[in-house]
Amino acid sequence: MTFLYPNVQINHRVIFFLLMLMVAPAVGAGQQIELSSSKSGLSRDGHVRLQWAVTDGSSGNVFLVQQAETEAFSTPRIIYHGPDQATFISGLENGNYYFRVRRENGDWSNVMALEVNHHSLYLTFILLSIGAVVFLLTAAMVIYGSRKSARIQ
Amino acid sequence: MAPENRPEFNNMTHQSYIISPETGWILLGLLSVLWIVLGIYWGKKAKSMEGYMLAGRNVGLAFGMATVMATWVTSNTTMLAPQFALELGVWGMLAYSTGALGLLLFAPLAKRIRALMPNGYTSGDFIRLRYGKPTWILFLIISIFYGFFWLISMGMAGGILMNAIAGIPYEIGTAVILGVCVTYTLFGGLYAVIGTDYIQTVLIMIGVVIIGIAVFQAVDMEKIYSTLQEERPMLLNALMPAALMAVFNNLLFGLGEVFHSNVWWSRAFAMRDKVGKKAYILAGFSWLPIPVAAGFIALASTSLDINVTSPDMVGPLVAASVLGKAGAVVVFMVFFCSLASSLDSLLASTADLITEDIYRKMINPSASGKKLRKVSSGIVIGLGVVALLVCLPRIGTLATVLFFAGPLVASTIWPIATGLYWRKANARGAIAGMITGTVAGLIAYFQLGWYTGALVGASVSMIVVIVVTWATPSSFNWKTLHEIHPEKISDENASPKS
Repeated sequence: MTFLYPNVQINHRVIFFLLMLMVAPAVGAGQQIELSSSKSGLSRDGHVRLQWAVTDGSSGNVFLVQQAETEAFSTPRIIYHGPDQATFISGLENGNYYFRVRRENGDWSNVMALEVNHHSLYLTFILLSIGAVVFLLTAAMVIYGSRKSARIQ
Repeated sequence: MAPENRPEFNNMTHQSYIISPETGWILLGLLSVLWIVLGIYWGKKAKSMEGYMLAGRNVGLAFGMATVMATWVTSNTTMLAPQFALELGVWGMLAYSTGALGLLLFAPLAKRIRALMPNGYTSGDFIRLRYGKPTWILFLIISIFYGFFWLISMGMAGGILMNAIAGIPYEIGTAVILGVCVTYTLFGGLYAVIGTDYIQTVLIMIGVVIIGIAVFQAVDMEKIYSTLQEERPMLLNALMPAALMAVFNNLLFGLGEVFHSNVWWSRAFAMRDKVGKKAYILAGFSWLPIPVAAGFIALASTSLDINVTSPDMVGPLVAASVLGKAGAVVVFMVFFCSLASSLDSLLASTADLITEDIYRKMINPSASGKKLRKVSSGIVIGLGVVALLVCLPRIGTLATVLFFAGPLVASTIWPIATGLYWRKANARGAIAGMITGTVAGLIAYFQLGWYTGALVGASVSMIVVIVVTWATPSSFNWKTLHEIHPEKISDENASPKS
């Protein structure tokens, strides 16, 4: 496409993007709760904090939070039902988890996906062993040093 | 009752709270007035700079043990230990209790410090005399950075606590607790800090017993186990990786905190001869059960069906929920005391470190005792104001904020310990250990998680200190540490000879 300036070309993808920007608010109009999480998709320690905000400005709601192991929420579990707008989940085992929230009788929010992948036991035992050695050497040095200095005094 | 009709609904963190803001304000006012009045009363004893900074070097066993224990029962014990348990399970709870080893291993150090430096004032004094100026500057940066992060974590904890229990806005709660502690530390120095610590210890012990009995009666152990097994299975897993890593990470972080911080050195200097070692041992054993009890109540939160909106709020929330509105007063008091007892200590010791090591040693060596006290007061106020400003955005949870300083403090363990006992230890080893330990620990903090930073920092620092010292040994003369403070010299010259 040639615009006022003959050397300026506008790509068809740019036009599509601009059109999408105009249409986007209408597409998202039905979604009134925005769910976010403290982790960016991956948890190495099995916990996550979920937080949600009501985007239409209304207040005084009861919320329902669901957790499932499939994106289709085939066997969901209610993990919170109440007025708070955040919840903390911990002790999750390795696997994929999906979360969503809605007001009572309202629409579901966006889905938050979380992959829990704990550190390997190999790395764990290496760090555990190093920690034990450092502690024992530190304790030994303090005890030996104290006894030696007491003898000298 | 529908949530929108409930009078007690906190719209800041969206967490239901236990007592009304009015009751919270009354409690806050009463405790604030009590500590300020007591602080001013005890502060009258501080006639000289040595009295203000070190309580006249005459603190006995009871007060010595109480101040050590109260200072270690910080917001980190009452609020962070439950967070550990909620995030990392049973191992997390035990990991936190390893902090007692910091006090127990510092006990022989306290004796050694008092013997080597009978006239010492700060931990900075030791590093300057033992290793020289470059190491001293690096140490001051680490120590002040750590002190400031600890201060922030406690200011945040104050705001979180008052918000969780009484719905007092986070910003106001943080400002009030910092303001109260700044005020009484300003008037009374270490006399006020140790005096208030003594009463705070008694209140904390009574409160912890009440909370412990109430929680134990309210929960069914089998239900706790079955609920955790069903909803949070990894918390009961003996091989939970992050929790296992946290065990020695927390232990080494605790060692680093106590070994390097002027909070603990100033108490070693302030206690009478031969009191320090006993006081630190007794305080370590007395502190040990508190994080276990505090952590246990967090594990009960699931079976009690308490929604936790932020992991650092779980301790006060569960305790207050179990005890009800009347009991929430006890919870409020215990948590307020645990915060105040550490905040005041940290304000006083950080101000001492900046006054003594930066102002007097670098800027104005001939400053009089009166001038130093004026400067110290200004620093206490300045620290309070800056801490408040940093606390306001609530940059993370208590654990992530505090443990960011982990690699830095853990890298000082070996430079301090070898400096006290190993004649061959030298500045090259100390500097190399602190820098490499800090860098490696921070990389681990960001790459693996906050529960590895101190562990990696301490390990790398230890190896580097040992290798560099063996490669380039020196022979230190311990008498170099017998420095006499200028104010003391002028006091001795001014007093009539008997």
